[in-house]
Amino acid sequence: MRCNEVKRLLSAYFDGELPIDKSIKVKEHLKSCRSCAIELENIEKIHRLMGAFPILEVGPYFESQIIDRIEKESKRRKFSFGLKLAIGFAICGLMLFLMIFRDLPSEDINLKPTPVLNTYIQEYMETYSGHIGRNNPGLIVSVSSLGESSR
Amino acid sequence: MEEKEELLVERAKKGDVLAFSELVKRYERYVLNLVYRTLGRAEDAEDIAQETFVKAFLNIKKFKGESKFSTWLSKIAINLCMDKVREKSNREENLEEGVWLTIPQSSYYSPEETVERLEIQEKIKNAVSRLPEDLRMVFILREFEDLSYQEISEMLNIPIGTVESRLHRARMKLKSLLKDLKTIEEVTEKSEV
Repeated sequence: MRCNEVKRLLSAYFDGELPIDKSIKVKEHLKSCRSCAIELENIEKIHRLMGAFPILEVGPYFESQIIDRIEKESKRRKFSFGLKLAIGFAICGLMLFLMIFRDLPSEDINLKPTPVLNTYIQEYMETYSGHIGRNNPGLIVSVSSLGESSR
Repeated sequence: MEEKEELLVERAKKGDVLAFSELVKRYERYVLNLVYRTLGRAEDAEDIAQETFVKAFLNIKKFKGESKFSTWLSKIAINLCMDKVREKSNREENLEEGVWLTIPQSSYYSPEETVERLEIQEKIKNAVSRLPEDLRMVFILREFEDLSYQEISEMLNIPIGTVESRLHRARMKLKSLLKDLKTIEEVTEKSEV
């Protein structure tokens, strides 16, 4: 094995992740190659250095804060589910309403003057023809509604 | 007597918060330090570690027991860390401006030795923080969490060959960053002489 290849494999060799045949070849190479042996020592040194990586200690309220957060999140999810359910029902209700009422004939909704109403209007027009302008439909309507309510 | 982990997980799956808090007690230090090493910042570590447990509880029914519970927790923590790193890099914050914790030192060490040890710790932490994110994740999972290449590959969704090459590159980079640094053992030996 050449040094370049061995150096590329040293990391996996150190971790014990090389297949056994390759591991034996690397081991053999290391016996006779000082440069690769130094490289392996460097990897070992980094591993030892990492033992000094600072360690954080858990705060006194760590666990209780987690439980609080779990309870809040559960409530939020329940509320969110309830809200979605309510919106779902509202949309369904609206759709149902539209399905029921959209087929109603439009004639039933529009009001048309009845023959009785027309008679009243005619009478008023004749009586007050001198006072009310014939071309003022607003006044005619208000007069006609008066006649309707007085009946 | 300590209750078996599998039983605690089963109870937690049924919504038993007490059983889950027992699991929290067992893994809080592990998760907190995994997050701390991955982010390189103490100030975010506790929040992300707590979020890891909250997410774990809310999704515990998805844990099928195919891996160790700790590996499953690590995966959640690593994903949250990656989200945090992306969020920070979007905000263009400087990751190296970490907050240093006061780490309690044993009275066994002299003040000079304690200072020297703290300096070593700071240099190591800074060197690891300076690794690119992809190299750092692999390095931490191998070096501190002692995961196999196969486990790292599954956790990060990358081929085993990529795990191997990233680990090699991470170590080469750390070698150049820490070449003159003494190990804690060397500091201790010097003070004993």
